Amino acid sequence: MEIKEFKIEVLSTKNKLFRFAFRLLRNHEEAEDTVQDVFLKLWDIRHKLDQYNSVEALAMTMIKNKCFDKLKAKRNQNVDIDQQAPIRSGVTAPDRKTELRDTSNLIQRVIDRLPEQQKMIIQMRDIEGMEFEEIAKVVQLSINNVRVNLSRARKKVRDVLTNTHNYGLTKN
Amino acid sequence: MDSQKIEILLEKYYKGDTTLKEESLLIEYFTQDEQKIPVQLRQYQVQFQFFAQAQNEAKLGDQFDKQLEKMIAMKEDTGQSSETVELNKNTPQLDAGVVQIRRSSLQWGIGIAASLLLVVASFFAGRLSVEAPKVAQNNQHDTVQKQLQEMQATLAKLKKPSASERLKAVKTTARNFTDNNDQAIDALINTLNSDENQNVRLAAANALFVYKDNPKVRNALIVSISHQTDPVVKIAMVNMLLALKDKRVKEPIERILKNDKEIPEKVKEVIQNNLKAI
Repeated sequence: MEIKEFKIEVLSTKNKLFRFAFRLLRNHEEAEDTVQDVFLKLWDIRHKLDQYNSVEALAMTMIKNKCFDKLKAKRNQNVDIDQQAPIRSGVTAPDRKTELRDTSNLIQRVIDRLPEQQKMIIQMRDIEGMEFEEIAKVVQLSINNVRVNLSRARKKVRDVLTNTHNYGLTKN
Repeated sequence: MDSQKIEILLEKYYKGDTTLKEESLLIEYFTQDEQKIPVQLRQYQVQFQFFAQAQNEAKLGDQFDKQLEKMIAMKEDTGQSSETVELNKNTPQLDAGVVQIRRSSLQWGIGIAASLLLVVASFFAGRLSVEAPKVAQNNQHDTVQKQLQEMQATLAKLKKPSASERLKAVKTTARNFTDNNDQAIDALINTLNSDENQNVRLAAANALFVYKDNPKVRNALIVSISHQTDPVVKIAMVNMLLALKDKRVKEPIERILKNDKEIPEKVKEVIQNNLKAI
């Protein structure tokens, strides 16, 4: 595989991979570094990529592993990731636009605080639109388990939203 | 789509049972005009609106591709191909593995051969450069001294304001200097990299190319091509670099092929083919 082919087949997934890494790391530079590392590795094994049914699932798995390594290193440095981004409900919205932006921020935070598996699954399914088979490969769960985790994640997002919604209503 | 159907889809959705197609229906439904959505369903709006635009939110920087290509080129240059395959699939595929290993051992072999050659070559080059001046010193000490003075004068002319004078100076330097005259080489390299006139730069490149076997000259030529802006100089230098038969030239030339819009496609094709031969 030459660089041209590599660019078309592999590099086209770059933003998807980046968003996945960013979801897990919540840091732009680190996510970018991770994607770069993974691409360099994929370049090294470019002659073997034909053997994989889905290069994308492979790439996502590599991203996941790299991110977990980084997160582990961070935890060892005693940086509590959960405390970095506390959930703040967006009830002080003066107009519709900022309200929408606030809810979108709120959803971001809800997803960020989901357990790792659910977080990855909702990212891959609802944002990136990946098939269950591929997601199952990346998170190493059965398709059924993926569905269960996805259901939990979706409901959590809904519940947080309806709660703030009701809160807004009772206030009026 | 009627709201009852949507409610059924929503139920499936929260159970994790919807297909991708059904999910895109939901997204489509909830991103339409709000007025068309019944009030009791509007609470679901934001969630789907969020998913609809989340893909556009985080993007890699513009420099990412370039940076990556640079790193890949660097990897290829150093010839390292780390064999790390981290996978949860256990398909070892012996054939491919063997091929890969053969490839890398071949690369090693070439690397070792090249470095041996380099050692031998530099040994002889060293002897020559020690012996040659010795002879010269004994026999024609005075002439050398005189030539050196002349050279100094010519080198000074390389800094003249007029391009034609500098061009003349480059040519005189080229005629007179020998490849162990560091001062002359430095001056020519400097001219090659920083002279404002492309003809002078071209002349300097030609002059240096005669001594392409001198490692310093070689390096300078390879490095300098990336600094050149004029297409004529670029093409001339690409040809010189190709003649060097040096692996290191690949990366800068490939970069030029990719980024330069002034070089005609035909010329690029020829260069591309020659590049493969290295």
